[in-house]
Amino acid sequence: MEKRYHKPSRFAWWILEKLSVYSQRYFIKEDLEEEYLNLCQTQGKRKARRWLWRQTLLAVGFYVKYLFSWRNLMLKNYLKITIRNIKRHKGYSFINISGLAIGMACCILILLWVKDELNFDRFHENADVIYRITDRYPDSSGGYSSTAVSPWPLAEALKTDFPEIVESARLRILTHRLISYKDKKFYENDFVAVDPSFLKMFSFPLVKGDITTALTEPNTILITEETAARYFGAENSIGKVLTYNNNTDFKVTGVLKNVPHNSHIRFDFLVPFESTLRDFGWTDSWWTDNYTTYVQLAENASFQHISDKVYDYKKKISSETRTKLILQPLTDIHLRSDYAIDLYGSTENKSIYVYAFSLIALFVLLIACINFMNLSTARSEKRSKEVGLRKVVGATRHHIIAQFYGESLFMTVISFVAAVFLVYLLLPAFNNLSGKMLMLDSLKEPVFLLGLFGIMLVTGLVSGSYPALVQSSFKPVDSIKGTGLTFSSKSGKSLFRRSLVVVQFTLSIMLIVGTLIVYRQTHYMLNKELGYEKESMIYFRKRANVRNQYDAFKSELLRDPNITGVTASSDIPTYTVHSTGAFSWEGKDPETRFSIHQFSVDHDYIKTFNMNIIDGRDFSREFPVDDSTQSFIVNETAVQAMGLEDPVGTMFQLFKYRGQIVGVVEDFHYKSLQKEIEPLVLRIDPGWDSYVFVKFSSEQTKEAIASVQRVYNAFNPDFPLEYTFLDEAVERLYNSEQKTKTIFNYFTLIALFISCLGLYGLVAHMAQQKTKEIGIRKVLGASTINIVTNLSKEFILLVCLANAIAWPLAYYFMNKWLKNFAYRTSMGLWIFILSALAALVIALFTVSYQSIKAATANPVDSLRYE
Amino acid sequence: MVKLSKNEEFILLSIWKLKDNAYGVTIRRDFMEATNQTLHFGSLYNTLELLMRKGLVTCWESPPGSRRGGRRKKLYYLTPEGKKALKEAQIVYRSVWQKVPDLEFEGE
Repeated sequence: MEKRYHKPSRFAWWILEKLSVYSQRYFIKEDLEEEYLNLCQTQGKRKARRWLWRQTLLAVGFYVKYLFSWRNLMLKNYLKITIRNIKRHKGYSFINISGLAIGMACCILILLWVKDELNFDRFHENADVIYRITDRYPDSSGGYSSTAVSPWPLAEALKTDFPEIVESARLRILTHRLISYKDKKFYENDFVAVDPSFLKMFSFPLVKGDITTALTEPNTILITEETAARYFGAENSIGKVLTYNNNTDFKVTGVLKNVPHNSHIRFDFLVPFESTLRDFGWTDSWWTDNYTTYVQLAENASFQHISDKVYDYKKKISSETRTKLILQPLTDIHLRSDYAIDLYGSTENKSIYVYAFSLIALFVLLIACINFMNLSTARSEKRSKEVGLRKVVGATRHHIIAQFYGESLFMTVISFVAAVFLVYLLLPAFNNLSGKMLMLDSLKEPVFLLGLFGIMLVTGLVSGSYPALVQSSFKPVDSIKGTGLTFSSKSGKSLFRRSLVVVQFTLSIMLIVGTLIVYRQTHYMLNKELGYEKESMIYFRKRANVRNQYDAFKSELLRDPNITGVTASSDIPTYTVHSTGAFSWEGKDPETRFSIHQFSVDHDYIKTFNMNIIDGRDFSREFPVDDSTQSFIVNETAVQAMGLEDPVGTMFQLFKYRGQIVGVVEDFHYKSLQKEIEPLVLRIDPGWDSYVFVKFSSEQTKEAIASVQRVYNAFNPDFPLEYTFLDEAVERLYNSEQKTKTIFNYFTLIALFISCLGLYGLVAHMAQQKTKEIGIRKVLGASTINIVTNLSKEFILLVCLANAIAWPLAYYFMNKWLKNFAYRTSMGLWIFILSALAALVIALFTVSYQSIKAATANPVDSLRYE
Repeated sequence: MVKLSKNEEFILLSIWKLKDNAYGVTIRRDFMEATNQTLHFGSLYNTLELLMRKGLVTCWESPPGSRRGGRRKKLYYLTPEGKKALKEAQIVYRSVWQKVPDLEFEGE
């Protein structure tokens, strides 16, 4: 009796069985099995298994070698036949190769894009141990809100309290700073204040200057190479003095390498905190979140352990807080940030785009492969005689399979080379479209290269497999006689080809539906009533004398009849950062806690933006109480969140200001439409206002801006005017959706194009096969229309079938995408019908060209043809 | 005279040694024990194929016995030519080795 029988891996077994040439003659299987069992008993199951797998791999290696070494002689013949075939059917070869090349080029482009997205922030040496502190607190709707900002003392406190945190750094971005050197003046948005430890944690190397002393002295500044060139040209920038906001001087002590485009932090200037603190109302309170805090863990520290401890850290400061701290890995910041307040406004999770685009790349490649497969199958019918003959003179099935695989690999290699060339040509345009700086450099990276090689191999094998397996299976007698091989008849093979066409069009239709929905959503977002008027309005920073003499400035502007309104506020409706939990109201349940956005505005804010007051009154100069921050206007959402029946007159407290709610403003979208409208309170506090909004009549844009310019320069000769159109700012909110839209458009077009290319080839092939049939039909009296219908009918049916499959799939995917948006358009049935019609028309057009050509041919020619 | 490669020679010897029990697994094991080298099944079968073509080895399919869990096996035997070839090889070896001085004392 044998010991327990260990079953060897069935898969390995199967391969071995298939590959061993002398299998039957030597009972190889039996021998291997005995040895395997032997090993199981002497060395254990795992070793035995490994041994068997090694045998299998060796066998595969030898098989490949066998395939080729045995066929050295034939190889030359195969190559010759392949090239002859390509040459003989130039049209088909062109369709085949170009379709595949375009598909692969798309795939490579998208892979480059995906790779770039995934590689964000990985260039830092410490990328794996740097984390950003983010916080999470309950919001008004009972869920959670997250922000990526933290209070000033946190960085140092964490470093002192946790030995595992070896370094910490704070960062704050200062925008709209006027930097000047001699007569050069620029407003800078990438002006960043950091702790000196910042340079130790992150890998931003210095080109000039000393990294150990950099940023340690107050009033020193580091600039990037690009910035140095902008201000100083070819001069040596070290030791030069840059003036900040016309009031502070900074000495340049170092030049940094330009920030790589795949860094989530962008800066042109780095300064130590001290010199700029007074510029942004610095406070060391634990309850004002203004800074981005990064921490670096020790190499051997356990992330789980620390993140658990940090999670409740704020309890230590105040036992009442509900804010939790969460560590976010540096490498997640770019793709997986979803914060109400982030470095550059609010962020949403972008990883969905990586998935979506990878999926599209796969679709396009699949469509191209199907094309290739379809056409090669169709063409290979023509070669059944060749196959038969080869078999008669001694070719085995293996030979034929190898030949066809080899041929399709050969074609793939050609397409691949063409694809790389295409990518090279298209890369600038693609960069433009996607806003990236992709380069073909990554083609040199072994991993990427291996990936591409893999794509090539898989494409070749997948697209070659059908002709290879089917052609080789025929009996030589049949293939020479030509019986049982008529693909175009309603046999199983043509069913296969039809299903491929269906798959192809299903994918294309899904892409069309996707495009239309993305288009509709972006259109919706750009045109939705926001609750305020964004047109004919510009805004600019309220600074220096405009700030000090705001009322005079305002009345001066209003003297121009083209200017219809002037107001000021602490926030732009597209970029909202002021949010607080420090407020309360009459009758507040102590358990209810959420945070509220707060804008300070001036008296004309609601009027200028044309918002609606639905209850109570607007701010007004007639009520002196409004000026003393004792009146508040809240939005509808806030009323609901507070649970007030009759909000007007309710006592309300914000920070130290106590007063009454005097009015309720209709909800307006002061954030991207991806986010729900949140509670908001408006108050009058001119000290907080940092933007001036000017509304003008739309016909007189130029004149109005000219007069703003004139008045502004009169007040602020030292600060050039830098203004933005509000509607453009709103549009910029949807940049990534816009980009998605364009990229989607292009790839859909390409997918459709490739599908049609394939369809075109197939119909051409079919028409050619039916030349005689068409001729006879014509002789017997069929009209052109009869014949066109005859040839096109089938494909139209296939496209209809594809529609039926594509609709639910597209609905599922697009529904998922739309769920990302708090405010979204509907998926009307008309979108689906429109895509169906588009696909149908395009298919019909493609098919009819060939079929009309066939149908109008002179029957004499077609019948004489043999 | 038949020319033999090392592998062929060793495999012939193994078959001779194993008498009635020479089949894939045992031949390979014997070879590996004697030479202290790995012999893959693939090489073994290829060599056996060559030896059969040269007519030095014949085989016989044994009925499924109880010892091998009901698995069939192929037993190998030397043909008279095979034995002759081995004998010749032995003679060649002897005559070559006779004239070689003792290796043990001729170190560097």
